Amino acid sequence: MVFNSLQFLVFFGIVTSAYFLLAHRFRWILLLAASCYFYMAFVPIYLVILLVTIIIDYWAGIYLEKFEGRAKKLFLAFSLIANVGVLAIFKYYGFIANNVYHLAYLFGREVHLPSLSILLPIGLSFHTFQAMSYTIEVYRGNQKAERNFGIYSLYVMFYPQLVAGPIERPQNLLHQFYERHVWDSVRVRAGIMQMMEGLIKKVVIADRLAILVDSVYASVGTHSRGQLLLASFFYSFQIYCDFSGYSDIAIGAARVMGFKLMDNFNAPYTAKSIPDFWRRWHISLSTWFKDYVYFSLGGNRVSVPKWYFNIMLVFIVSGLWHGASWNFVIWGFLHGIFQLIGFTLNRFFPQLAAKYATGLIRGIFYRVLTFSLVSLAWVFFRLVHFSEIKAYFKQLIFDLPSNSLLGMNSNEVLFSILLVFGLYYWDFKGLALRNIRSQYFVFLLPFLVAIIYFFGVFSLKQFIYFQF
Amino acid sequence: MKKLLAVLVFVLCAGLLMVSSSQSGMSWLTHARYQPNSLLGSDKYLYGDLYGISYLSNFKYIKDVSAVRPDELISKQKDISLYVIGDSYFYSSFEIIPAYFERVNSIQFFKWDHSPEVTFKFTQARTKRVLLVESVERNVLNLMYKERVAAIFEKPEVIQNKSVFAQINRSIKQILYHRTLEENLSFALFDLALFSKFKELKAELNLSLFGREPAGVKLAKSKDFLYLDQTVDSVADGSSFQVVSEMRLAELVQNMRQIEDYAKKMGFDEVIFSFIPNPVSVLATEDKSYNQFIPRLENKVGSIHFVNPTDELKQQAKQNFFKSDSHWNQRGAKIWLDLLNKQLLSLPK
Repeated sequence: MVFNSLQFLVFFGIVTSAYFLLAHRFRWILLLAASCYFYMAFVPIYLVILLVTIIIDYWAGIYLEKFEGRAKKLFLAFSLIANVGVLAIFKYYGFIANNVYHLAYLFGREVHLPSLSILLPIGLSFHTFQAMSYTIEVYRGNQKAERNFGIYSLYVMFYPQLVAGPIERPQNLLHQFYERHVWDSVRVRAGIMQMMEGLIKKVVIADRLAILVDSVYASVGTHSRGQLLLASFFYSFQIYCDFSGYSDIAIGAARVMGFKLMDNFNAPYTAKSIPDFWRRWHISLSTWFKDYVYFSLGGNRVSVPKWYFNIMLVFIVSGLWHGASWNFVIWGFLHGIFQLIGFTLNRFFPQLAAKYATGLIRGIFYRVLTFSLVSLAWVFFRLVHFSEIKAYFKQLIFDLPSNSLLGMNSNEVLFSILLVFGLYYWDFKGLALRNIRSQYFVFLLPFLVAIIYFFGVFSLKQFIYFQF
Repeated sequence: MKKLLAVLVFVLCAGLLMVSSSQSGMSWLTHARYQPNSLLGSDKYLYGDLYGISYLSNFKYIKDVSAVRPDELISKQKDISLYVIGDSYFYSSFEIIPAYFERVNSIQFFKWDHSPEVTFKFTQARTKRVLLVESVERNVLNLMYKERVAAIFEKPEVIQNKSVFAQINRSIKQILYHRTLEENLSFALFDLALFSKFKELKAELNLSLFGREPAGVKLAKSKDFLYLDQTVDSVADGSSFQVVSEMRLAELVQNMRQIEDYAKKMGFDEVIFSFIPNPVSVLATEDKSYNQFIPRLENKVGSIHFVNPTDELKQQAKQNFFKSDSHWNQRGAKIWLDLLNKQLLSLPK
């Protein structure tokens, strides 16, 4: 069930109204049942996989609290292996088998691992990471083990953030299932406004930009340099609006019921450096990697070569988290390289550091530079096959004659550019619909509905991050 | 007050979900919507299916939905039981009665997409059993397989070959989520005549500002007809401009022969194939050249009975099709009927 569907609208209406009608003690049951229904709309049988990892992590949490020392470590390892194992089988097995085959072929041998024709469970990387965050926090003593199996299941499966985050931490979410949420008109309106903002980002901006992006990226070798640059520019905003639009709807839907989920985006393209970008983009994932991988490796409290190694490792793993394909590894690698170059420059030329870029011109320069680097990396995120990547850069460098169309006329291109700049201004000023005074709600809501209807592209296009 | 609002939202949404998830609920809703002069009526198909998809106000013509009027038949002897596998070109133009067809004393009709409510059986009296296999051009390559025909005459399980997991998945989905729930909800919520003006405004805005036709529809170059997008898009399956190789045609003829053999083993005496050209194939409004799919096929079918109305439809072509519908009009349908009747008359006694 995608958020930009009528099914979700009806589902949301039923669940939210029933939530406020039910007595507090029954609400978690309703939310759990609703979350199961929501998840089963994709591939019902995969609920079993989710259930298995939930059972393992639930018991692991309890035993982690009971035991100390070696036994405690063993339970943590068991839980992590179970979670990573599910990821490895469903997400990475095909990738591993393929690479083993090619590697063996290099040495003149043929190794065929048995093939598994299985679909990737939707949102697997998201809920697996959320589950791992629970056991790690219990292990670290920051979170008490949850005794109520239903509540723990709900922590993993809470429908607004089940398939594409934000990847929550147990300290932030678990206690909220025990809290009594009353109907608060101001909060409900703010939640609905945030959902509307997410919908506008998705159907008005992202899906409109996708028309040109899909058309150009379908045959990169036949488009001119200018067309490729425009498509790349649009793709940067498409993926941002698509994903942050999802997050807004998720956070807004939870907010209506009284839950506070963590923010996932903070105007990422206004960043003045790559580290700044990562503090603003997919915050729940980047902080996950920082808290559980980067710091575990020693962070920056190690020798400089080890520190650089830690950064590269985190970004490459982050790339692999997105997809079992080399293009995602390159995407992560590029971001790692950008970080290292930035740190090195700052180390030897501190006056160049982005934090000192306070003037207008320097501010613009650093923002444009950061955006360009991020957009360059997005090319590797969008193009899966090396032949396509090669064709893209060949065309970008040599600009060979081409006569392919953009999939949009000039009016629509102009309109899309206006949307992008409008969004940028909105982000730059730190505006958010949820902050608009609630007395304007009655007038604003129909206006926003009209905007979505008249300027939206309704193709039930899935959210890009659903595939991860 | 807040409780009342919550109850109201719950009842509305739950009721909507129940109606949209059940066959009987949707039948009731559809029936209610198509009542003439209903306040909450739908005008979706009043003006042609392509208007119903596009809402382009220039194509808002009231569609004549009356059945084709049959001529007086010349055959005295009614010695044929006619069995038809066909699509909306057939059932939306003719009543399913023998009065249209030469030599026919009984008729049974089966939709390609399988009508579980109709069970195939031969009539008791031993008359000549003729199977008519009819399809619009855009679907021919997908439909002409022996298995597709067998699925209509035999149990549909014949062509199902899914794993246990896939079957469990399908069963759960069937119980929890209606196959066309999204379309049903859209119909229930928005297919109301009172929304048509907004839909038309959006369609006009997209067309005039962005040059973008509504999804699924293409405007003819001559601007006077709407087509199904699939039939005009050169790379889409079933397009009149898609490249279809000689080898693909030869495969198709082989499939038709397999269908013919299968039908004869089932007990049919004769099999007639008839493929109806896409409107764009006949109207020739585009600056692309037609792939000549049906005429080329006709040259290859040899002894197979084949009714091709392309040449006849091309005469005064614009009078044979609706401007805002993917089908032929009564005049076009009548042209085909005459050709079919000639074929029926020519069959051996």
